[in-house]
Amino acid sequence: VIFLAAPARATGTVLVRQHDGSMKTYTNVRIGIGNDQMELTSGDGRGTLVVGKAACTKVGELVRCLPYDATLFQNGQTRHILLQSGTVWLNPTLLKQPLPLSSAVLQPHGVLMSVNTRAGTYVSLTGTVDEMHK
Amino acid sequence: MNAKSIVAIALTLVLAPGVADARGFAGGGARFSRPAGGFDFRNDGATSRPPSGTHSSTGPYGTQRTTNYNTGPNGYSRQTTATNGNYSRTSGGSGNYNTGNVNHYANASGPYGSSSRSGSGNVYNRTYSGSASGSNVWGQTYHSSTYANNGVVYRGAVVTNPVYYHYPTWGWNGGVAWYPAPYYYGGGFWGPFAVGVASAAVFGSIVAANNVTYTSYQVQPASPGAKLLASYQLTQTPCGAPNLVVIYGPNNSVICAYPNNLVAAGNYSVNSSNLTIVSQNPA
Repeated sequence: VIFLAAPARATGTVLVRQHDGSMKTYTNVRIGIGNDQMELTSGDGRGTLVVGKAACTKVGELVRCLPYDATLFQNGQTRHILLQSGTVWLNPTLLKQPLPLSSAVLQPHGVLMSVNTRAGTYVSLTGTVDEMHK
Repeated sequence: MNAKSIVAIALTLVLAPGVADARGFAGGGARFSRPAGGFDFRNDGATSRPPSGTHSSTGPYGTQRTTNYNTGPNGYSRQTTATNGNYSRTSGGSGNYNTGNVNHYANASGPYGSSSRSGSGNVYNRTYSGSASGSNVWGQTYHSSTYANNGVVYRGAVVTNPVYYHYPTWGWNGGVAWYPAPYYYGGGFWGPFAVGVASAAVFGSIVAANNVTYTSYQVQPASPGAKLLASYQLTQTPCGAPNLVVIYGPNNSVICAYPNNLVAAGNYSVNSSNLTIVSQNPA
């Protein structure tokens, strides 16, 4: 059952900073939630980062998840990404919602993610959910 | 759309392990500097192959090799056996992605002797302890060891602990693995200073081979370090004077002691698993 139809153009933005300080920003990232996981697909469709394990709680109107496992499917290969720490915030409502103890505001269906991998890579995501299904 | 149902779904992000099939959505849109496209996670993990399997091959000189490997979400293991005539060698290793623990081994034999080596370490805290030994048909034997602490590698002789030499691993600690913890011996190997207590007495400092200055603190009674010093009959003295026993311990710690008949002056590292010191012989 699809709750949200995918928009014509995904608007998620992912920033990946390596431990050596080099950094790349990926725009037009598609954000999907379903099958008990969150999928981030690059704009060229060649890479999908799947956050497959997380512990989630409801904080006010928002959902906060602490992810601890991710997998990158890319160019026909699978790469297990070990996460060190991080948080995913999801606004499941149709209204803007402020983040607790922050000046940031999450758009309706907005997603905010910041994680560090065990290899020292920092990943951040901002955007709105393009597709959500069971 | 029902917001409540979205919450319900999002809460199920306590999630089952991942997706099995590769993705292939039609692309377009953004340009990336990497020609292969997708995300750049070059420093994270390794691309996977089938979770388990066997490789067999024959080398140019007739050496037969067979490798068995297993990989999973939490780790890997492998073993390779190579044979050629009277020579054989079995090697392997395993690792745990969650704990960072790794180990390896290799045993070889031939008409003129045999050898074995093994080691274990942790890729996250950059520790390693390894040893090797061998013997030949003329009765000659050798031993060597390598030890790394905080990424600094030591290759030299193990100075066998005069008291705990016959104890099993962690036997000096009642069989329990020691690790820095605030509620345990004051936290650090030598005492509480290793975990940030500023009241410990400074006992000089050392500029190590890596040009890092290590401040030395007074060893606290009943700490693991005190037990180590006592077993080697060493007495701590402030660092800085020449010709001292300089022992680098866990958590970038260092202490100095006067040499004695058991331990000569020089640089050493601590192998906390068996409470021994290893002489430094940088490569």
